[in-house]
Order: sequence, then structure tokens, then C-alpha cells
Amino acid sequence: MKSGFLGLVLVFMSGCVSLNSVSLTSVPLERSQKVRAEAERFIFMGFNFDNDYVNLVTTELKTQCPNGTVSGLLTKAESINYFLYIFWKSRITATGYCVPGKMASGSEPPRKRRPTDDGSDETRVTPTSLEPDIQ
Amino acid sequence: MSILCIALTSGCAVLHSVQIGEIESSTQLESVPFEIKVSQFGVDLNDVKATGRILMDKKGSDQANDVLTAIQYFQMGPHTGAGVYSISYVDHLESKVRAQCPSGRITGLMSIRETAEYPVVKGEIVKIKGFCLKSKRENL
Repeated sequence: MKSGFLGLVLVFMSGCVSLNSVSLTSVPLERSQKVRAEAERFIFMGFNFDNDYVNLVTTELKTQCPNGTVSGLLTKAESINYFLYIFWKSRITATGYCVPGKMASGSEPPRKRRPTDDGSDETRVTPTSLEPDIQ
Repeated sequence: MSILCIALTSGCAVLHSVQIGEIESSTQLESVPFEIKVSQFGVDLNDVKATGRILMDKKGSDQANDVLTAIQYFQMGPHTGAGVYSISYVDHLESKVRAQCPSGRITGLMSIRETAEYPVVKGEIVKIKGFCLKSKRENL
């Protein structure tokens, strides 16, 4: 009887985890300073009226890397089911590397885009300028 | 009655996926947060079937059930949320991000796919959140 009860408690307390999404950004060469942030929400019977808790991840990562760039970010979104999806948890975990001082966009002047939105810069090297001078 | 009204009118938010891009921060630059939200009306056919069973007689609900099942055969496959009639609502996200941050210095871009669940109808939502970097003397 006791062992049956203990077994039931173990079943209810251990959650089954399912992965909703994963994403990874480009991994930097310098990987000495690891950063990690997590945000989660316990949900009862599916009653969850917003997902604003995910904003904490970005804020936390920014705090951990105050003057640099967080690269190689692995973001996981997972659901942990405790019991028949009556009690479950939604969790976002982000791990990455802080590269101090590296600023990909902030230190450069703003780039001018063409209105055509082709993603290219306004100043472009023409193929003729790359050709060697033929005397 | 009031609890039922609250339950029917308040949408539960279901999170499907989150992606976070590289995050830059600097003491010399100010991060101005921005958010873009686009959504489309989705219909959950299983909810329609359940509602039909409550509101219609047995013969009518069986016929409706058959029609809805036939429609569902054309909507099979992996997906998040309920079916929508057009997915073009996400097509102009990039230009919307550019409009929010004309300088182009965007960081901490987070893409969130979520559903606001109401009975039968669903709000299929894509949210883009991020930060526009600007120097402290620069005006956006």
C-alpha cells in the first residue's frame, strides 16, 4: 500500500517534457563567457492569459552581458506536463556566449537602404571596379 | 453566469515557439524597445463540431460533422494553432521592423508564435519584439 502510494506520488511529481521549438544563432569564435537565462510559468488547466514572461529572457541576457554581444544563442521552448495537462509548465531557456566589446551594428553608422528593399546597401562595388587594369 | 462570461470572453494564450536573435548592449547606446504584432482569424473545426452537437439536432449535427471531417482531410499535416484562410499576414514583417527602427540598428530580435484561444475562433498571432539601438543624442 505504502509503495503503491509512493509510486503514484513519483508518477505525479515527475513531468514529461515536450520540446516546442529550438533555434540557434551563429556561434562566436570567443566562447569564454557563457550566459544563460530562463523564464517559466506554471499553468493550471490551461489558464494562461499572456506570454509576457518570455521578455524576461532578453532582459536577463542583456544584464549578464552589459557591454557586448550575446552570440551563439540556443533558445529552447518546452512544455513540462505534470499531470494530464491539468498542471503543466511552459519554460523558455536561452544559453549563449557573451563576446565583450563586440558590436556588430551599434558602432557602425546607420546604413542607407534602397527603397526597393532588396537588402543591399546603397553603395555597391560595381564589377568593373574589381577588374584589374589592362594596359 | 459571470464566471462563464469571463471564461468565454477571455482568451487563453498558448505559446508555440520562441526564437531570440543576437543581443547587443552598450553603455554608449540606448536600447529602445519595439513590438510588432500581426494576427489572423483562425477556426478550430473540432470546436465547431462540438458546438454543432450542442446546438443542432442529431441528424443535422451528423451531416455537419461529415462536411467538417471532409474539410479536415485537406488540412492535415504539421501545424501550430488552428487553420487560417491566408498566411500572407506575416509577409510584411520585415518592412514593419524597418519602419519601427529606421536606423537599422536592431538587436535582441525575438519572434513569438502564439495563439489566443477563444471558443471556436482563435487568434493566430506572430509577435516580433526587439530593441532599436540609438546613440543617446540621436532622436529616432
